[in-house]
Amino acid sequence: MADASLVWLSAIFTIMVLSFLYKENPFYRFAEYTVIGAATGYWTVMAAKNIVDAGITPLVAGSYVLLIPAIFSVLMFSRYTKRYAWLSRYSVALMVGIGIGLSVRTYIHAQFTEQIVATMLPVVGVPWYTAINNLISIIIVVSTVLFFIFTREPKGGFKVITQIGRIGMMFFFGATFGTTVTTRMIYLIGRLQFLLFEWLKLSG
Amino acid sequence: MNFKRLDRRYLHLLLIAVTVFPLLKPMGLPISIGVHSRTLYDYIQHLPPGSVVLNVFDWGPAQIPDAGVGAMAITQHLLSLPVKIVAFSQEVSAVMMYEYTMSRIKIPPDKKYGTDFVYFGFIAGLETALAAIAKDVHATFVKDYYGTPVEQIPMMDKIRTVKDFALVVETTNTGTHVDGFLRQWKSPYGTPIAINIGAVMVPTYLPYYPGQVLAVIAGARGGSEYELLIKQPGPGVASLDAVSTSHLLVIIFIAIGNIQYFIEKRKRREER
Repeated sequence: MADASLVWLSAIFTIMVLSFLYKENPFYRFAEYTVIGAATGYWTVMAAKNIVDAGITPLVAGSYVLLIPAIFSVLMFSRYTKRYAWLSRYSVALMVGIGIGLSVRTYIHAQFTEQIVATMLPVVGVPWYTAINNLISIIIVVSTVLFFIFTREPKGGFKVITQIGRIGMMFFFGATFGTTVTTRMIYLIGRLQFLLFEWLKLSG
Repeated sequence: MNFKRLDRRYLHLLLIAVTVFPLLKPMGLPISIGVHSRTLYDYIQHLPPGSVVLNVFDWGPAQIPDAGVGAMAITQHLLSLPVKIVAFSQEVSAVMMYEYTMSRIKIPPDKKYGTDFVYFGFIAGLETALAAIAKDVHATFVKDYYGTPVEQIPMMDKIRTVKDFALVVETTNTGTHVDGFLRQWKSPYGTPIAINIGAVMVPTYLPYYPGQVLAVIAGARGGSEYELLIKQPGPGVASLDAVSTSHLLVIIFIAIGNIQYFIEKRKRREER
């Protein structure tokens, strides 16, 4: 019974949202605000649970070292007062510092050096179609990097190379747009599958 | 006919029609298995018994028909093998997707929670948390999602650091999660990472294959391939006919739009 009512509720809200395809209407607005409200409530509860589980419970159990991050967390709330807002900067500085420190440590290797290594592809001693793919990859990477050299005016041969880079980027933008369309279509199909098969119980 | 003046609601109606029809009357268009799905399937299939896989649920309800397809198929595959699954989420909304997945897949009767698989719920901190888990699993996964302390979970006895994991499967629709694993797990420790991502992310993360990621499972398409590999065709496979017809419609309208554009351009030139 509970499952059936949840399916009906879900179906009604799906139709309310899809009604926007016809035109803006109060049913769509109601669904939109309900989602925002429910999501905010869910996030608040989960955040509170996380604070209790990872902070308060071990602190009470004797992990007094957690007092340090707890103090920094409380300092974040000083932003709500003009007089003490500056205190929150210590917490922000700590978070930014740790975040940058952690990512920079391995960023150069993971997303710079390794990407360069991945571009050094063989063009001989591999099947012809792999050689062509690798060659295209090398040309596009090099020409795209050269496109972003702004200290030299693009003229003659250099202009040709940067234009190849530009075409390469256009391919990427096109692929990204294409996959965005795919994703949106999949979302629609997912909802239609739900309406047809779980709500209306039709057979495909 | 001037398509610029066409009421877009006709397009919406047409789109829903071409999507609903193949869902109700599947055409059974062929689905080939790509190299990424095959690679991940083979890798998981050949994991030594007792291997530990970190299965990360970082997808929300919107991704159920997209990356969710692969997440469910991969989890089903892992549960069919003698491997152990440690799961957690870096996204708050992903917590409900773990329960959604486990309620939809078939858990073999010999697989027991706490012995073969465990879920630690939402762990805050993103990249910082990933770095912490890598160094000391028990210090970060203090309690599982249901409140059991990590010391009381039998399978967690021998799982202490990143070195105890044979594979990471990250399902997400956010690049931050993939980047975090590349920087905090793959780069310093060399842990194999497979990513099951929304289709929209594929062009961005494909360059990481094969050097840094084991496989890129691309949204519903990749998930459907995985459903076929584990011989359990599900909602992913059922959706692909509709994906094809809807894409065909989009391509037709892009072509019409372009033709209209060039006709108008020519007319303007002639008027001058």
